[in-house]
Amino acid sequence: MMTLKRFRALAQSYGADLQRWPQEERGAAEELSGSSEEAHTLLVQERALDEAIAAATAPQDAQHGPQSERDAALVRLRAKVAARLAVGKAQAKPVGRLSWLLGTASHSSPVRVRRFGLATGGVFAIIAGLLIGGLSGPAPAPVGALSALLQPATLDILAD
Amino acid sequence: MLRITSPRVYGNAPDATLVSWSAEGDTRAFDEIVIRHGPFALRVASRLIPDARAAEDVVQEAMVRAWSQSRHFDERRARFTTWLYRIVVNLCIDHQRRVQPEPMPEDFDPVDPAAGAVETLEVMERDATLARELSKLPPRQRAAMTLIYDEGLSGAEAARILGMSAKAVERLLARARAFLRKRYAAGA
Repeated sequence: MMTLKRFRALAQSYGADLQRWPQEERGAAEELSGSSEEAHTLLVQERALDEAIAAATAPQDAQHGPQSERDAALVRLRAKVAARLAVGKAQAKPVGRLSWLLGTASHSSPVRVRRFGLATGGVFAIIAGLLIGGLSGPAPAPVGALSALLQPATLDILAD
Repeated sequence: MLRITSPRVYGNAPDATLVSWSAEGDTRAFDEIVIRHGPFALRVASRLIPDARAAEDVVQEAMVRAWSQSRHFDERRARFTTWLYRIVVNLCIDHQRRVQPEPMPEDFDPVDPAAGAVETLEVMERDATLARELSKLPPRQRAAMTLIYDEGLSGAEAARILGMSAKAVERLLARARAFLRKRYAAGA
């Protein structure tokens, strides 16, 4: 059984619409509003305030435009959020071991950074190969020996 | 070992699944979240923040924050909507606490000269007064009213979003209504 004090507290918080009231207290509230004149009057008073609040917020709702404007707002929101996520992802991706060399690597797209890294690595490898080859390569073969190497080999199996 | 995964179907995926995919970096999954919950977020923000552009910016910030915190979401602790709406409402409240309430423009809710009748004029004046008073409510009181009166959430749901008890929400509503009742009676 709900007391009138509790009924008043709920009415003065949630208003006259019992659907807004806590579900577990609705049944008792309906019962009391049917049996108590005072409870019924309370609901009538709160309904007047509900209607006034609804009327006061109606121009505010109209200010936010028709459905088409709300749809447009959602489209804008999706685009802006997607753009910010894309920026965040690009900055968060690892850019490879050569990033220290590139300086601006963190601001470039990961694909471009990878290509540039591979190209730079290739150039280093060629230069290093030439240097090592030039410094520690074998002595040139004598001209006679080289000529012998360039002669076609004799295939004894075919000769038979 | 070869792992065979079925293609992701975003439209039918539950919120909790979308947020777990988002935590893996799936932006398409997060876009689906924005499609589903953006309208609610925009509606609530536009009621709590009178400047439409600022309201959109706050919702955008809330969504980006939800994306960056998606790996921390635990569906055993809270429903996804409660978690997301709490981010949205808290940012709206913070925004409103930072900015001073703007005075209503002089031509707000102009009287239609065709209506003419004194009663209509009085009612419209009273509505305009109440609208001004609504904008003066503390952000938490306004948020509680929006969630329960406008969005139809229960007191318990609103309490979870606002991070307080249902009793505390009830007190917020009671204070807001007492303030509005007094102003409405003064204007009547």
